Amino acid sequence: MRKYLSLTKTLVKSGFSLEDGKARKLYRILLYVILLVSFLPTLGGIYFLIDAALPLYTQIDQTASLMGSILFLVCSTTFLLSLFIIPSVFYFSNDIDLLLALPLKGEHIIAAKFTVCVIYEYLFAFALLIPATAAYIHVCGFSLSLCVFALLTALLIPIFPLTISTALTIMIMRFMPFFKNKDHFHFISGILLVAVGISLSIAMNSMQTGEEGELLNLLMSGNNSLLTLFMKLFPIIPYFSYAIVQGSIIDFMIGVGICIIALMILLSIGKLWYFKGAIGNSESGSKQKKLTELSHRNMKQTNKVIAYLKKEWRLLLRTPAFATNCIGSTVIFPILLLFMTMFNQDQKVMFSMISSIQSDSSFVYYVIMFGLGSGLFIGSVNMVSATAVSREGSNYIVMKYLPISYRDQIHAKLLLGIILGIIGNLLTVIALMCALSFDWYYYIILFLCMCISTILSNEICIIVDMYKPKLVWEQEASAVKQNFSSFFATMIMLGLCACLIFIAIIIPNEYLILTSLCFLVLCTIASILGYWLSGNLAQHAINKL
Amino acid sequence: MIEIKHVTKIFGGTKKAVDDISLTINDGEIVGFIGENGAGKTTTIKMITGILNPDEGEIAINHISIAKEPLKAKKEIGFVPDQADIFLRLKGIEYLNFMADMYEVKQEMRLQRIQELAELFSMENALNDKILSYSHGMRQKIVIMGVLISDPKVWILDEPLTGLDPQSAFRLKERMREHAQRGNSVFFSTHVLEVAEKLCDKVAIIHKGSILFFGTLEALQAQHPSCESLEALFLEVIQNA
Repeated sequence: MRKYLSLTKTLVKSGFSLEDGKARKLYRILLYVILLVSFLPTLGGIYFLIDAALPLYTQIDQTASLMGSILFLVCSTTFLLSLFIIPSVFYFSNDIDLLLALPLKGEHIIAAKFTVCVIYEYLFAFALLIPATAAYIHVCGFSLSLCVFALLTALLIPIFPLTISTALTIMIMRFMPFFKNKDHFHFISGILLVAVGISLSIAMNSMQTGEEGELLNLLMSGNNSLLTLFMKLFPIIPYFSYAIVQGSIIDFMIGVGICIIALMILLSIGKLWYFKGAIGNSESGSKQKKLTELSHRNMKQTNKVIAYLKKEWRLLLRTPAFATNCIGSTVIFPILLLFMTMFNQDQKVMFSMISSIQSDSSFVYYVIMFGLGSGLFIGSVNMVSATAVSREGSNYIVMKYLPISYRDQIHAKLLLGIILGIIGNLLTVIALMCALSFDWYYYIILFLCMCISTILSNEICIIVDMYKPKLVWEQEASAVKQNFSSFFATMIMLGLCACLIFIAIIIPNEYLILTSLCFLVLCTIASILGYWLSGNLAQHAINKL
Repeated sequence: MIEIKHVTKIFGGTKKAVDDISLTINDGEIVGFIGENGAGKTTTIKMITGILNPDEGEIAINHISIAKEPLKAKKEIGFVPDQADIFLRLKGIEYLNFMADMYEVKQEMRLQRIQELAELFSMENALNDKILSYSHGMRQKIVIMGVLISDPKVWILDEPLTGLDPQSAFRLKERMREHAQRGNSVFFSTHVLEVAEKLCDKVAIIHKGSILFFGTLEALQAQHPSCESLEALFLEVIQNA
C-alpha cells in the first residue's frame, strides 16, 4: 500500500505540475484561469439545457433518466477517450522502463497509473455534474443528499469505464504484438478515431424515423425507463442516478460495489498480463540494410531552406502524434464536408439552396468573405505553424547551433504550414465542388481568398509559438494537444474567422462590396507584412529560448 | 582557435553559472574541459556554440565573434551536444544529408565522407534505419558523423565518448589527434580523466563557474608535485578551491 501511495504521489506530481520548463508559475496559473473562464459559457449552456429539460422529464417520470443521460455522457466519453490515453500512460510513457526495473508488483504500477487516469477524467466529470447538480437544485429544490451523492458520484463515475478500457488495453497489448509498437498504435488509433467520428456522423444522420419513434415510446412509458438503455452498457449508471436523484443509499452502495468488483477484476488481469505486455515495449527494430547506390542518388546538395523544410516534413509525417493532429486535421475537414453532403438529406437541401443564390449580384463578395474566413480556420486548425517550434522539444538547441539563420529556419517551418494549409484549402474547394453547383470561377476566387488568409493565419500562429513554445514535454502528443500558446493562437484565428463571417451576414448589401474588398486588401497586405515580420522577429524570439 | 574573454553567465538574475572565465584554445591544440557535475562546463560550451548568450564578455571562433557574426562563426564549429537524441525519426543517412546541407558540403565530398565515416564507426548497415532504432552509442556515433561530415575547423564536443564502444572511442580519439595535428582546435568536456590525461595538450578545470586551472598537465603537476595522476591532481585542485 505504501508503495502504491508513493508511486501515485510521484506520478500525480510529475503529471500535474504547474511548472513547465521556463514558463513561470504565475503565467501557468493565469493560463488555467483563462481556460476555466473560457469554459464558463459551456458550463452555463449545460446548466440552462438541463434546467429547461428537467421539468419536462419530471412530468413524464424520467427525472433520474436525465441524470442517467448525463452520467452516460461522462461514461461513454471517458471510455472512448481513455482507449487512447490508457496505452500512452500504461505502456508508452517514458517512465515505463524505470518502473519495470523497480521492485514493484504489476498491481502497484496498474493501481497508481489507474489513479492518475481517474484524476485526469475528473475534469470532464465535474464539468458536467456541477452544472447538472445546480440545475437539479434549481428545479427540484436543495437537498443535502443530492449534493453529497453528486459529489461522490463525480469521484467514482470514471472508475467503471476506465476499468473496462484498461482491461481491454492490457489484453490487446498482451495478445496482439502489432500494437506494442508505439508508432503502429498511434497511427491505427488516429485512423480509428476519424473512422468512428465519421461513422457516428453517418449513423446519426441516417437514423430512420422508426428508430426515433421507438426511443420516444420508451421515453413516454415513464418510471425512468430510459435507464434500462444505459444499464446495458454501463451498469453503474441507474444506481448512481437513483442515488443522486432519490437519495438512495442502497443504490449508491450497489454502484460502489460494482466499481470495487470491476477494480478487483482489473487488478487480477493486470497481475496476470501487464508485465508480459509491457516488457519489450521500448524495443524498436531495425532493418540493418547496407546503404546502396540508390540512396546515394538522393544525396544532392540542396538549398538550406529546402533541406530544412524536407527535414520538418519528414519529422511531421513520421511522428504519429504530429501526423494525426497536423496533417490529419487538414484532410479530415474536407472529408467530413464531403460526407455531410453525401449522407445528410437536410444538408443536401441546404446546399442546393446555397447553389441557387449565385444569381445574386453581390454573391461574389460573400464568396470573398467566406473564403477569407474559412482560410483562417483551415490555416489554424492544422496546428503545423502553431506548434512549429514547440514540436522541437529538447531539440530546440539544434536550431541554435546550426549555421542557418533563425529567419530561414522559421520561414522553412512557416512554408510547411502554408503548403499543408493550401492543400487543405484545395481539398475543401473540391469537396464544395461536389456539394454545390456554382460557376467555376467562384471556386477559383474562393480558393485564392482562402490561400491569402491561410498564409496570414500561419504567420500569426508561428509568431505566437516562437515567443511561447511548449518545449518541455514527455510525449510528442503533448506538444500539440497540451499546448496553451497554440490553443490561444488557434482561438484568435477562429475568433477572426467568426468575425468575418458574422460581418458578411449582418452587413447591408450596399456596403458588402467595399467591406469585402477592404478585407481582401487588408489580408493581402497583412500576409506580406506577416512574412517579413515572422522572419525579423525570429532572431529575437529564438535567441531568448 | 577559440578565444573566451571574461565571460559570465547568470541564471535567474542571481546564480552565476559561469563567472568571468577566460580561455584561449590555440590552433593545433586539444583542450580537455573537466569539472564536477554542475560546475559550468555545458553552460560554457553552450555559450561558445551560440546556444546561450553570455551576460558579459566575448567569445570568438577563429577571430569571428559568435555574438556579432553568429552564422559565420557557427560554420567554423562542429558541435557534439551532451544528449544524442536528435531528430530520432530521420534515417541516419537523412540526418547526415541534412547536416551536409546545413554546412554546404558538396555532393561528391559528402558521398566520400559518409562512406569513410560509416566505415570508421561501423555504421554501414545502420544508415538506412531510423535513428529511433539506434542504441545510445549508435546515436552518439551518428551525431559525431554529422559533425565530421563538414570537416569543421573547430571541434567542440560535450562528453563525446559517452556510450561509444571501445573501438569507436579509440577511433574518435585518433581523429581528434589528427585534427589537431592539421592545425585545428579541439575542445571537449569529459569526466573520464584518463582520456584527458592521455589526449589533451592542456586542461581547463572549472569549479562553481570559475576556472581554477588552465594549462598543460606538466604545469599542473609542477604546482602539485605530490600528485601522480590527473585524477589526484583534479581532486587536489578542487579540494583547495
